[in-house]
Amino acid sequence: MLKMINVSKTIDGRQVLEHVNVTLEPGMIAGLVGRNGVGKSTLLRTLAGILDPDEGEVTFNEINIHQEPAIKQKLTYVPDSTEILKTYNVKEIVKLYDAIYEDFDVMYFYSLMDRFKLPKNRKLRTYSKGMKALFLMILSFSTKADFIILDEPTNGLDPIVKRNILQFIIEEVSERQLSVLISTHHLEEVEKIADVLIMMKDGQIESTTSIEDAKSSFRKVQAVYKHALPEKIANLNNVTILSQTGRVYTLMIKGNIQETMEKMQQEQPLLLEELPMTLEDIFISSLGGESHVS
Amino acid sequence: MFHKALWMRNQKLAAPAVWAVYLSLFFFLPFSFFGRAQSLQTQAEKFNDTQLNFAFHGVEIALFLTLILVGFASLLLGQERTTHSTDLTFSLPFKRKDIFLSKWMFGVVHITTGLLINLLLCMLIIRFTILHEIADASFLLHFMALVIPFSIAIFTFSLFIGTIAGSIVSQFILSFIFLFFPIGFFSLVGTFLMYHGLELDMMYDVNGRFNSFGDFISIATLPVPIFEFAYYTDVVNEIDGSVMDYTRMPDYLVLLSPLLYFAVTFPLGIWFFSRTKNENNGRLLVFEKGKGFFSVGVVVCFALAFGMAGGGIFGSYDQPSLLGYYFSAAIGAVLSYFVLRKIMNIRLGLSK
Repeated sequence: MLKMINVSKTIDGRQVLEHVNVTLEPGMIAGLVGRNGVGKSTLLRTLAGILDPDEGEVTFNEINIHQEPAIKQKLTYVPDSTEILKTYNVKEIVKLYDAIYEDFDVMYFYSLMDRFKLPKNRKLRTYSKGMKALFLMILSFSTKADFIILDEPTNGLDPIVKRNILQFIIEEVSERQLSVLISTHHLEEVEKIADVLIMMKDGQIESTTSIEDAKSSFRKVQAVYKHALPEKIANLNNVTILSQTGRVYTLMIKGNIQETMEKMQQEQPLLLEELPMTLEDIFISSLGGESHVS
Repeated sequence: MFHKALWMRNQKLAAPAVWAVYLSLFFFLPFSFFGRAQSLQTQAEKFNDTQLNFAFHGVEIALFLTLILVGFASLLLGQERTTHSTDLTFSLPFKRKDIFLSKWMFGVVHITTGLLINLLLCMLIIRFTILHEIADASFLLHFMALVIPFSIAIFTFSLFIGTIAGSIVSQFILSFIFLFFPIGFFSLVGTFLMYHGLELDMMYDVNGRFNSFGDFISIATLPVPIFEFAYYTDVVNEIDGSVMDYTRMPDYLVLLSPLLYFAVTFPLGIWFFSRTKNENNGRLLVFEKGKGFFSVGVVVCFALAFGMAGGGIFGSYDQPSLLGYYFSAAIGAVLSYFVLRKIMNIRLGLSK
């Protein structure tokens, strides 16, 4: 079990992580989402032992990873940068990883290379960006780690490879109680494969819920009233306006769904209907609109 | 403590420096010795010349060696910070102390081996060529006793600078500045005192064994004692061709200098590396806390340096201008303050 306990981190005088608590159980795929600059990469780099927390600690199976880094034999990190091993060729990397990780499975690595049709006799710098990202992921899974941290893993992958790799992650997790933490902006991926959704906002964990719970605690509706949206509805804390076209409002209701729907009915709408909802809708309503992208 | 994987990683990181150590030492030592032996042989055969002489000065190799050693340490440590591959190294299941020790050990093994092999080759060249008639190879043993500890100390010092510098460029530049800091700083302070009517007596006897205060400062400047090593042979008797040779070897007490440097910078290097702030990689300095002290030091040094240069320009030959000194010093201080403020916030990085 990987735990981040009350971790705070300040960079350049700005508090990037603020009393963050995260617990990730074995056999779980967790998706970490949040807007640019909220501290996702800092959180992952702290979990991997690259950055030291100013306060708090990170433990893996109850062992502090900063004090006893040997525990990271079972915890690997795939950064968003694909340039880290570019001067190596595949054979050199295999030799290096075999020397680093006691359980590195060379045969398995090459079988994955074949499965994803990656060339074996080339330097990594000659790979395309997507191939490098895929390669680093394959490398990470071949260490037979119990916990894998992936920072923006599908950036640069084409849709077919992306689908294959997501399928591959699901297979790995179901086969051997592996846990994966994925930081991504591609919400549809999280929706497809994650069990748990971790939302970050302003250096803090906004919520940690299962995808099902997240969806069931939100409702997306379209409403049309005779005049504008009644103030009674607009002033409700749990109602967010996603968009407005004339008198047509698209609203997101967070919590107290039944009660809120009744209130909306009482205002005699011309139209009130439920819309299909995606994780993106939840993301926008929970973590802010498009205007604040940093 | 020894991890094969870290050795492999260091091999990849510093491969150019490893080649540079072996090849440059080969070029500056055995290759150069052999060339000189060949030309002496030709001289002796063609012109029947008995006035053969041979000289070796530490300065022939010292500056380039320092450059290579600092480059080696910068490739091992600073390079990772600049290319962001620290993210890989620090995520591996190794203690930071072991990562630092592996870099140090990797460097020391190659530097020592490179020097030993090439100096031994030089000895063989002396033994089996015409040099045998005029030179005694034992001077190379003295040189070995001097150059190996000093090289290890220079490398360790530069590696230590790498634990506080945030990039390969800042590690390389700061290593050079601080390696020559004692001699440079005391000349700046000496000039400052001179402008205020106080002559710094560079010849003052600090210790009977060291000739002067100036000598003491030279010894405290790591590469300088290697510069001072010299060996030469001279013909004493033109008829029988007997020779006298001379070795100028600094007192063995100078070896206290690399020892002290090592005793301070090695444990400090481990300490700083274990507490490194990777979030500041690419910056001039890794640690926020030392920035104030560092900035004050830089501004003072630049003020003194500008004062030294400007005082001379504004004054006459025998009457330096104090006003000119302070005017130039003020310009130096202001300029360095603004430039430093700019540099401090630059993040130097390659292809994240």
